[in-house]
Amino acid sequence: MYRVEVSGWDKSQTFFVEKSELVWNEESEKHVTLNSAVPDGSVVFLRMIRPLSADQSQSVPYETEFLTVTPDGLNQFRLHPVSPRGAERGSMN
Amino acid sequence: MSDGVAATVTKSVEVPFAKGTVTPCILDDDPEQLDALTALIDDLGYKSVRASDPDEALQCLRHGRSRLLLADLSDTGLYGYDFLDRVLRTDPGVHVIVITRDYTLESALEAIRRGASDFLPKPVDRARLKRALDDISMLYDQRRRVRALEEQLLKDLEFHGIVGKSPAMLEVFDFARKVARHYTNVLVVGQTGTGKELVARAVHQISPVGTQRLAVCNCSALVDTLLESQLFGHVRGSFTGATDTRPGLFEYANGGTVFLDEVGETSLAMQAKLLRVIQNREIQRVGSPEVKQITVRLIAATNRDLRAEVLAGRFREDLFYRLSSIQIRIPPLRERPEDIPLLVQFFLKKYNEAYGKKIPGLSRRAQSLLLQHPWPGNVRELENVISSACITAAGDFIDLADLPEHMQHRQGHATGSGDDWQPLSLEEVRKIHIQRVLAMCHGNRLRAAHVLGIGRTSLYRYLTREGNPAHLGRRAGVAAA
Repeated sequence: MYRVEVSGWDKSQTFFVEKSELVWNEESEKHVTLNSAVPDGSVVFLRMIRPLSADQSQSVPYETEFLTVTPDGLNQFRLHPVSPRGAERGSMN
Repeated sequence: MSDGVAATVTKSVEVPFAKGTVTPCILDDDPEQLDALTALIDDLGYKSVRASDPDEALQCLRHGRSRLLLADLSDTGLYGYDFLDRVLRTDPGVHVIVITRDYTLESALEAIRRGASDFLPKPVDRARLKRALDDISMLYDQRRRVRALEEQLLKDLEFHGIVGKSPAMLEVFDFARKVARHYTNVLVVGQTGTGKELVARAVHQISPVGTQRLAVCNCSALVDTLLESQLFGHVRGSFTGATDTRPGLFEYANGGTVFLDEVGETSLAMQAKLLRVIQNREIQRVGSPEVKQITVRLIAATNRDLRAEVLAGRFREDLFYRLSSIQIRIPPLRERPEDIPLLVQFFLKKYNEAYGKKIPGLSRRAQSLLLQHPWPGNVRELENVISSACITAAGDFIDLADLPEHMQHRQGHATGSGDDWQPLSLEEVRKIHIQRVLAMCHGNRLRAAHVLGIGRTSLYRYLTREGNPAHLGRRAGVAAA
């Protein structure tokens, strides 16, 4: 699990910033749970929270796939890497 | 203005420019006319690309082989002004010179109103065509030079990863440089997404202990027990899950700096512990009786009005005074819109590199939209918009369709504030206005009363009548992000 900061726009188009935990399992699936209700398929930006890093980490975009609402009422999402259109190099991930 | 006068004016202001800047794409369904125009343009020193039908011309523009279209268009001709609309929809940055036999003043004005750069009657006058091509070429050359200057400016106006040219931000940079030299605690105040962590890192880097360690702790991200453990360390077995003995961030950064982000979110109990660190310069690991001496510079950050939090009993006054002897306030982005173009350039460069793209900029209408947006999420929101636009943009420039939907819809609103007028009661209008002013003042009721032009007591009385004054002030002080 990794502490991350997640930002993006929720279903009411309000910009949000939340702290959460990124679960990264053996099959390289990434999951995150948010208070905010994010539209399925929208892009959110993840930044690792690293207390001991000399530099601030960079934001990385991910596409969300809604999975379920947890018993705590939080929204769980699977995250998919995003490939920029017309990029000269490969995707970010 | 007569041609003679125009010629004189042109001569006196002529500036050398790179003629090969534009490669016109010529669209004409008459092969003879196409040949003649190609030869003429060649003779004027420009290379050109030929297209015999609109789709070929559009392909040429889409693939970036040309950014100037010379097209035989007319309202009644084979290719009407609807084609002009199509071209400009495909790429609003393209210049279109309409060439036609059916010249009338009305049709010329109509074409220009629809976005054409110029309107030339057939047979094309060589001097007029030369002037039109030279003008557009000069414009592109100028834009290239401006972009080069902007890149240089970006380097000059960057302060440890933060970019700004507004007087407010230059003041922030200047003040940060001054306070960084002194080994004293600093409080950085600003809304979410304004760059508080970047400023804190900059202060550390410039400070006498810049070569020492910087530890960053987000105080809102953890519950008290975990926060305490992270800051002060723990010994094995001191709590469930403490399977080893570890130093905390204060020990790690001993001799350097500890940055406490969102210090306003800490509990009163945690605040007492932080006060002890500042006063006594000592820490104790969780579960350990041993006291360790440490020397750290504390930089704290908050998006709350800590003075209001002290008044409300949610933040310790003694800790507030210890943290806030030096305050750096970062203004929200809506207070410094002149920084937006520079920030856009900065993020474009960053994400062009990250995504392997070469997007040179935004269309004029996209730029205009960004300047109108209130940016509740501040610079972070702007960064996400540019990052997202760089991901989705398929064309040369970022256009409206590449921006978030809610921003595109906002473009249709005539009012600057984005409010839809409704016939509310005076009481409702007063309530909404007071809440907005409180939000603008980050919950500071003294400042809000001053802005509203009423006494502080009147404001308190009103807030008490409407509900819990502390709660209203707090809600108003927390940004949407």
